[in-house]
Amino acid sequence: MIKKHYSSNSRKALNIIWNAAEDYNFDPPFLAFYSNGRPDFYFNVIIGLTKKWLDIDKITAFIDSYSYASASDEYDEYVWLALESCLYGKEINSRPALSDLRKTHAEEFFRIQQTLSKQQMELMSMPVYTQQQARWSAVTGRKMPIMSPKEHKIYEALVFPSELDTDALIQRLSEFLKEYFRFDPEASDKEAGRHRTGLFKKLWGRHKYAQMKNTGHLIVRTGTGDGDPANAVLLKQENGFKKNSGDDAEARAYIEACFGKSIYTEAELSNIESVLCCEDDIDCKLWFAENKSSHKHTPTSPDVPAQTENRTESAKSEGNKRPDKTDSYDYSSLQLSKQAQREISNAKSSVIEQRTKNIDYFRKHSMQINESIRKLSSELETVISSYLKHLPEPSERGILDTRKIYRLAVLGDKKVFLREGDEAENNLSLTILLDASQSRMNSQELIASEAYTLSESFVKAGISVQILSFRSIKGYTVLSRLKSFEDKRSDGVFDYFAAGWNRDALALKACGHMISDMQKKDHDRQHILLVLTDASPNDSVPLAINPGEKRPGNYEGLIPVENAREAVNELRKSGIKTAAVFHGSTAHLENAYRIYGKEYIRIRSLVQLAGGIIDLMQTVLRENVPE
Amino acid sequence: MTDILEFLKNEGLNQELIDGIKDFRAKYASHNEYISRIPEPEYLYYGKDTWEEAVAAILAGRNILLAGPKATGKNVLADNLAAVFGRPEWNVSFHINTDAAYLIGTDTYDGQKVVFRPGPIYLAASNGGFAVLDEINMAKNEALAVLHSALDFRHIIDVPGYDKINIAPDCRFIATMNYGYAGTRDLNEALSSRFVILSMKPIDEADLIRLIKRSYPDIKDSFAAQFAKLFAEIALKAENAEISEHALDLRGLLDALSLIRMGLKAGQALELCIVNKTFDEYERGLIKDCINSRIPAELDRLAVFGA
Repeated sequence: MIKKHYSSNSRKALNIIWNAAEDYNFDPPFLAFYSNGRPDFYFNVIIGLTKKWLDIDKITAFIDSYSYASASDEYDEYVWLALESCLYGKEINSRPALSDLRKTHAEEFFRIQQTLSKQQMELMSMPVYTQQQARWSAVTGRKMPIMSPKEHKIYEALVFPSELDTDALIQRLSEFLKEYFRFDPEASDKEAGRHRTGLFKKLWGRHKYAQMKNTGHLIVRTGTGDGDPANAVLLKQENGFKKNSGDDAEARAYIEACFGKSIYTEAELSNIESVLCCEDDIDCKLWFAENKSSHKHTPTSPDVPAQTENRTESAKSEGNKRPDKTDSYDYSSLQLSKQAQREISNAKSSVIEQRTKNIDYFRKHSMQINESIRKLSSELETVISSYLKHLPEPSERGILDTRKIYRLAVLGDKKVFLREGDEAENNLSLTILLDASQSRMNSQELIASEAYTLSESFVKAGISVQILSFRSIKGYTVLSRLKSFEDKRSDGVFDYFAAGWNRDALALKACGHMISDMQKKDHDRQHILLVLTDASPNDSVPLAINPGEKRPGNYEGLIPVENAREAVNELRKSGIKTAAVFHGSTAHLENAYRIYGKEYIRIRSLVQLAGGIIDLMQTVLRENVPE
Repeated sequence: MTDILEFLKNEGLNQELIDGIKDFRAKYASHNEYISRIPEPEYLYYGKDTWEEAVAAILAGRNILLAGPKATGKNVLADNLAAVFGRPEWNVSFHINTDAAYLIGTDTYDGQKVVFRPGPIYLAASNGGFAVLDEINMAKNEALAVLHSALDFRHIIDVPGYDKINIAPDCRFIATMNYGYAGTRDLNEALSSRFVILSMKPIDEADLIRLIKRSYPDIKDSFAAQFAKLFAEIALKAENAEISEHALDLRGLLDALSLIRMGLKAGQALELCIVNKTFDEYERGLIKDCINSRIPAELDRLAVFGA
């Protein structure tokens, strides 16, 4: 998978860099961390300043030019010390606080040294350590370390004047390496180039960019360097669709065995597919499933500790059993091969395991989740009540109610006017649509808890809620209903698991179909669709072949994003207020904006959910105009 | 008021516009009844170009819409305009339930008969006031349709069941709209076409330094610059959606300075007035980092203000 994943600490480091660089579009090739994973504040500022004052691409190219050398890690340290001294001089006038930051960093250096074990010290490069010690001693006014004449010369040579521009700085760095280490980056690069040609060179280049360098202050090279032009997560394309779809009947049987029977009849499904599976989705199929286990398993809520205990135990014990023994599904009627049956059994056992993990996660965070639900539901009540149509009530001012005017003359009752009352007509319904594709693998428990929090909060605020999940497997885009409008509790959401691909556009259309089916029964009902997404559609079923093209394009990159945007616009035109909770990498933030316009929020943790949803609901309920 | 005129002169505002303001004031005296509604602004708006655009629009008889992100001084400018033109001000905060009755007025019984109880728009329109329509985009569009005839060439408000009132020639509507980084929506075309729209820019660093120095004349130059830069950096962070707009609070920054002058350390003061504006722990971390890269936490009154 080629994906830039930023953890919370990385994001913190990025923010420090962007702030110093004064450029939030800057994708830094380096981030600085301490060995405990904490961002190194000062050196991240230095990385940002490298962008601000110098041509960082040239600096990066210079650092790459010696990356084949065995001592490249040591050279890195010297280069950053040199950069630090030059950039400090350039920035100090406009940022006097840099002096304090530098001192703090120096103090931190000495503090960390005291905590290092003998083994850790042995792993360090002593010449580098001496230079660092000398630099930070000078900054803090400590006694300088004992240095040989050569070391002293190196120390002085590493103090770069602030007047240097990029080329002069690189020239000086080059000379420094030549003079003190007899190393010529240019010659080394040429030398390496002679031996590494063609494909090997390309592969080596990739490896070089992807590698991480753990050095003293841990300036880590980020990303792959090769980038991904369409900014989409590239799961490994298996070219497996043809293989998968080779046997339609088996694929269909597989889907039915894994997700349960469709809620629509054969004929209805075929009709729905003929309407929705068109254009780029022409080769796709649909499946609408009712989640069986949410009804089959204990329907108690895990927010009741005693019952949760039992439930979790039961889930665990289920997980320990051989699933093929407990699974009563009749495979023979579906004519599945033994291998397929094994796959299904394994899949089901993973689902049970994931359910246990979801519940465990929920239990660990139950205080936080319950607090979120309390906060969110009360704020939602306020937001929703201001949106709902208030029924008129008698008042001493407002619109004159002519039918009651006699009361004024006869009874002296001044309440013959009508104004908006406290009572309101509640006609809102919410559908939560969860992206359940493989790319959500690392956040399954979090997503289940988020959806639970949302669902319970809305239910408490008087809104009826259904929860659907979607994923695409073996050419089928499957919508599973984890909670129906009628279910009183939201426990079904713990059956959430991530697998397969996500064909967002088709899933959105299918979801719209389910909602409009309901609208036919209840015209006055206002529907809100909330999608929990990473805004990165990917599927193994390719796009439709355009005239003149020999091969269909892969379902990835910008076209699926555009398709999803159109699907969202269609939903909005049909009166379904559609919004998204974006929970993914920054690389796809632009996609989220493209698909959902301004009606999305980005959250990174559960704590942010409540506040974000309130803002989002205010926007969504006010108006939702298709672009 | 004279203060503001003097200030505008010093800002280099076109002399014709300043003369225009004086003529306007001479032509339209305020009713004594509403003299207390003429604002006396605590802060002055800095930004010569915006001042010229707004004054020209008002002198030309137009209504203005001040659109821009948070902390761009929309309300400060609205207040300043009412003050410099010497007009009583009616401030109407728009929200989702704002309706025609809330704006124009409702019926009530005065003990003898059903009478009309005028709303803020009616009062501003009939008394030549400046009606500040704060966050006009927060209301549903249909609720604002009642303002259309007041805002366009017709200059009337038709109160159903009562008279049609003509808008006083010295009445102006100044709408504000948070056209922010996320979560806001556009005004519909019918309404936006009835305003001259001023796109409010975030206060630039030089103007912010002047604002800080005007509020705290004893602040050291170097620190006025650092606090101004800090504000610009927080604004950039919000603009790039790394943090919400909560911490982007110019008033908060000025409050922090007053706390430092009272004796709090810079770190504490900024925590109280900027960092604590947001309740998300992660976001607070980012804002703290931003502050730490600019203002040392231990900075005290002596360092910032001198003896």
